[in-house]
Amino acid sequence: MKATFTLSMSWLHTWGGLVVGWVLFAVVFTGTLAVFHHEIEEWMRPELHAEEMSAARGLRVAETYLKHNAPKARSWSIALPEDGLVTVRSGGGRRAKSAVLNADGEVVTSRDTAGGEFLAGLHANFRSRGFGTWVVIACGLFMLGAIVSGIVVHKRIFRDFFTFRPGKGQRSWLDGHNLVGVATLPFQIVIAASGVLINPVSIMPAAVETAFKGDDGAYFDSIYWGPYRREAAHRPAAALPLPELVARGEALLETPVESLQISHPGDANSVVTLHGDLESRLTKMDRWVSLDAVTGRLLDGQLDYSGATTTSGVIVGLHLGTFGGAGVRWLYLLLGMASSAMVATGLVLFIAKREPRHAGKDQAWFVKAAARINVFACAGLIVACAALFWTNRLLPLDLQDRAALEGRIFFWVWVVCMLHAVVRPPRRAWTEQLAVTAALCLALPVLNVATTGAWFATYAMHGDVVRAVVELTVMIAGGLLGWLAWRVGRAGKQAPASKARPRVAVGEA
Amino acid sequence: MIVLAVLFALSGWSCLCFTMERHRRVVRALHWQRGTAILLRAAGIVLLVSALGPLAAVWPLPIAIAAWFAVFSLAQLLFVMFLTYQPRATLGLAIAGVPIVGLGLFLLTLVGRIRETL
Repeated sequence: MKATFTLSMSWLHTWGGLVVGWVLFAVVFTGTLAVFHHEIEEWMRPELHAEEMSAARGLRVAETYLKHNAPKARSWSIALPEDGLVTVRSGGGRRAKSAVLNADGEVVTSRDTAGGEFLAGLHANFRSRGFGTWVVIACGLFMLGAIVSGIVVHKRIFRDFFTFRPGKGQRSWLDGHNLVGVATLPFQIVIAASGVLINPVSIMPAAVETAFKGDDGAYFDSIYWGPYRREAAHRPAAALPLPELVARGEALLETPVESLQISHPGDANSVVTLHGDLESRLTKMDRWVSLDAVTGRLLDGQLDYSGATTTSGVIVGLHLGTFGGAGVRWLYLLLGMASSAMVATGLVLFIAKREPRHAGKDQAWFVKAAARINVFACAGLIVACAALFWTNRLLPLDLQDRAALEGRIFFWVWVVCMLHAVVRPPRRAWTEQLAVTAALCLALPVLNVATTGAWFATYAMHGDVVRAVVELTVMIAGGLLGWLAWRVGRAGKQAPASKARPRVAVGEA
Repeated sequence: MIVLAVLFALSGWSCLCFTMERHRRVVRALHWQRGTAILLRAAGIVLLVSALGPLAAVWPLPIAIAAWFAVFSLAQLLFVMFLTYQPRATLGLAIAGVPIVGLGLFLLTLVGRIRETL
């Protein structure tokens, strides 16, 4: 225990921040990229390109396809058109078959890729359910602890509210860390708290244990009972046209329909369940209605939830940031990048403060090791993310388990970065890894032209805004990382002259 | 509308910033009277609150409030970059507050009219 509360908080902030920071950077950075995981997925599947398609046409195309290809399936699912493509699915469980159709009803196939989902999975649980989830939850809890202890330690929040003094070595890192920390404070509190609470049953199992005897399924059934189910009549009957049922559903849901499920298609007891679009809602709780497919009568539905469930849905919505369209997601991306910068500057600050202090002492080995871990935990991860875009284009399309291989290459690139950080001096390793990432990002359009014949300019000319923006953003990020690599390299050359600069008092960090 | 909200917030932060002696020195601004500082503080708060307006015009209030906090943060980071690398421009941002409010009100009215027409 330290002498004062502030010193205890400083100790917690410093050491908790360092140990968790290495993993936290990966969680925050991949989470930031995952904000646009659908768009990244779209860029990574260049074959899925189609003209605009209306919802009515999408329904017609889907119904025709399913009637021809799965007439006896127990259920059909249709996700209404997105980017000119409609996704259909027949049957359930392992026997389920899905297809993506264009406006002409043709099946569109695309490469097997890890895609943006890989980044989202990495953010959620390091692609390892159970243990990975707990690691991420622990990171979120530590992040909340670091935020609170950081507020306590940073005594001059309001006085330094607009302060950033560049080119002053350790002082600049501290200013940068404090600035992004304070500026993004509301965002970070929301993201860290919602990230922890997004799995309420995992972190607070006592309620389910007590009220439902530990039966998670019974708990979920009590809050969400959809969709309506009934046995087949084994009697054929003509169903109402799907556009008419969708129109009824939209009137009941008061939002556009996003997807629908049809159980026992063609049967007298067929049920159509329509799910409302959640994109424009802060609460991410499924709103659905089940209609009799033959008569159009309302059978069941769930439009409202209890206060606690709605709160839980709002927490999910706040974490995902999908409630306000692209505008809010851009805000999330920028603030996520700022949060990643906060974690990274905190890690660098730890080294900047201790390197001169511990030089030649027994603890020097730890500072040296931490400096190397910093490099591959931050720069190495960014290299691996850039490499993911390259492997998506470079791996042969007919490769078995292609998506899994992309994921493995991602981790191998990260391991190579770790080895590189071990053998090179830390500052050089930072410069080189940032420079490699910049090169990978800036050369991405060249690779894209070479492998698919398209790049951001052709995407833009054909009105493919999503892919154009993804590629342009990667290029801009490449430019920024190149500038950063140049600055770090230049600072390395000037480093000996900066040794005489005054240190910062412990309480200020 | 997000851009407009960011402009409101930028202007608001700049007004609040120049109530602080150390930042006034950065832009070599004149020594303001106590009354001016109070006025600037009030203007800053009004501009920051006004940033909610453009967001509420495009989203329901709960979503607009969530976006409002994000806009605050983004604007603060942008403002500090201005203050560090282009300090003179920040003075312009503070002065531009009034025209920004005017432009904002005009655009809000315009959006309202378009919605009514549709």
